[in-house]
Amino acid sequence: MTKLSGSFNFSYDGSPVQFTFEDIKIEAAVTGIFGASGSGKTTLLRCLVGLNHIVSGEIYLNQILISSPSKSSSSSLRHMSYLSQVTYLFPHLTVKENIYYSNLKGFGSDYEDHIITSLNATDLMHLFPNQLSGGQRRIIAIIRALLVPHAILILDEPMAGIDKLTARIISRLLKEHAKKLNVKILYVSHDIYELCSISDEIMVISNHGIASSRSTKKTLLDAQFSINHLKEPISVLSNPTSINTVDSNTNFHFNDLIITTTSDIGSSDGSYLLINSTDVAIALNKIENSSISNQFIATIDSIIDYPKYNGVLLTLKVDGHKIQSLITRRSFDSLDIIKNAEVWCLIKALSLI
Amino acid sequence: MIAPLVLSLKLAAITTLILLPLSLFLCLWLYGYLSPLKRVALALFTLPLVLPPTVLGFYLLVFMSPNGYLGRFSALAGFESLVFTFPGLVIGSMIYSLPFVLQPIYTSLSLIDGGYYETSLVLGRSKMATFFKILVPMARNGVITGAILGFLHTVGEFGVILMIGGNIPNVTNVASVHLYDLVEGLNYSQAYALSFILVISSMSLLYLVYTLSRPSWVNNND
Repeated sequence: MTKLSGSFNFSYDGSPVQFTFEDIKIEAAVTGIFGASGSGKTTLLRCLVGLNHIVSGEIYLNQILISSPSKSSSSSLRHMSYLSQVTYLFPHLTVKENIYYSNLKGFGSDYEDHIITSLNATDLMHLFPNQLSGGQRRIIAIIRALLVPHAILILDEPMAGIDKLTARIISRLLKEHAKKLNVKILYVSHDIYELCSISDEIMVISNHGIASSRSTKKTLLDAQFSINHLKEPISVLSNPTSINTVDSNTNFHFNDLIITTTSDIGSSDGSYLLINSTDVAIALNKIENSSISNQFIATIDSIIDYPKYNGVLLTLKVDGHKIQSLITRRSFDSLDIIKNAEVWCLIKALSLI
Repeated sequence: MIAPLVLSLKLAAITTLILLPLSLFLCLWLYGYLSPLKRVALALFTLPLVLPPTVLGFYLLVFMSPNGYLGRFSALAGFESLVFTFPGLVIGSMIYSLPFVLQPIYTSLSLIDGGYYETSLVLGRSKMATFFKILVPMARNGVITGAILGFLHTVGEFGVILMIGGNIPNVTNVASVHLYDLVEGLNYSQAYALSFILVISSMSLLYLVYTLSRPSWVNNND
């Protein structure tokens, strides 16, 4: 377990800004850092890595002081590797020289080759950065940051400009990297869908502070989080017990819950299903002769006003899984729903991430 | 006519060879946040660019004279006097041409996005290694320009040399001073020839600046 703690002030355009956090325990392999633009995500990371000077306060990593106004450990002593939003590949060095620029080695050449081959970078090694596409430059920068053998890997919007297919390969590699080598990854993104597919925990940053830090599922089930940060509430079903294909339909088994979709798993690793709350309808009876194939008996777990859409947000319990449904106030009144009532949950659409 | 030209080239070459590493180390020190001390230093290093050469020459003459600070120091080192000697000219040229070498390098370095510097530090490299492995290669245009401008400016030096070097054949009689002598002696044909050589050679080197300073790679910041 890795623990960060501290409270510090940094100067932003000459005016001091306070940023407080206490004992962040980084237990998950991948911790997503989520927040709106300008919420202070990048600043927090830069202070952690030591690129921003702090005006007052202290930052500790596992009880060891790494930053104070008078002391700033070099990044190698912080055990943090950092990939900024801009790739900063050194233009006069080849891809290979860029990747092996760090003098810190430790993962071994077999592993380095594995990463380079998995991301199709083998043929790029002798090229210069200006001969690469934007996406390729980013991949090289990710490889360069990944291969620095530190305990913490910080990635700031790593997938910007990368196509979906490659992004999936990268996110799978990152998860594997974190688990295999016991590296803690802090993964910054403003895209909740991206975070759902990679992070086990989500730390929400707002107004230069950590608003919450908990598992991805719990974060998504928090209505206040949805109201503040999302277009609409979403639910995620992860790690299916099995996946099988019957007549071009794909069935995802989550223990007893079986969800069917016609969409091709394709390149997705199929471990995450994402359901928008407006795509979940409620009925008092099963709807026969309908196009909706995913219909389940559910109990109402909670009922919350959702003023943003003049609606009501219901949390449904389906075979132990929680799925959110956002319905209009009028529908809610006409259905006469109460807590713990049994209803049918109709999932009209879902996406694989 | 050949001896003054050779002397000029020798003086310029030695001055440039000393100034180039010196300027790089000054830039290493100046890089980053400019503290008041660094700002004073930068202004001081740039001063020879704007001062009349005669002012500079006068101060150097005073400093290097046997009773001057530098003169007394050089006497200890075994030189009787620096005035009217070739080493004296080298010292004078170093001060006179410093801004021409330093400025292009400093400007090129300050134009490099600080993210490259930070990235190198985060990848575990020291500040010194980052400077020489990343910043200097990225500022190569400035380094080339600085070297050639420093060289040419030393060849073109006149006022300072006249003040501290005088006009001793094979010691301090460089091309620019020799040209002055030729014109004073109404030896126009040789003056024409020498001027022509200086114009053509300087022009060629300046052409070289713009040829070499084309980057082989485009500076991509994404």
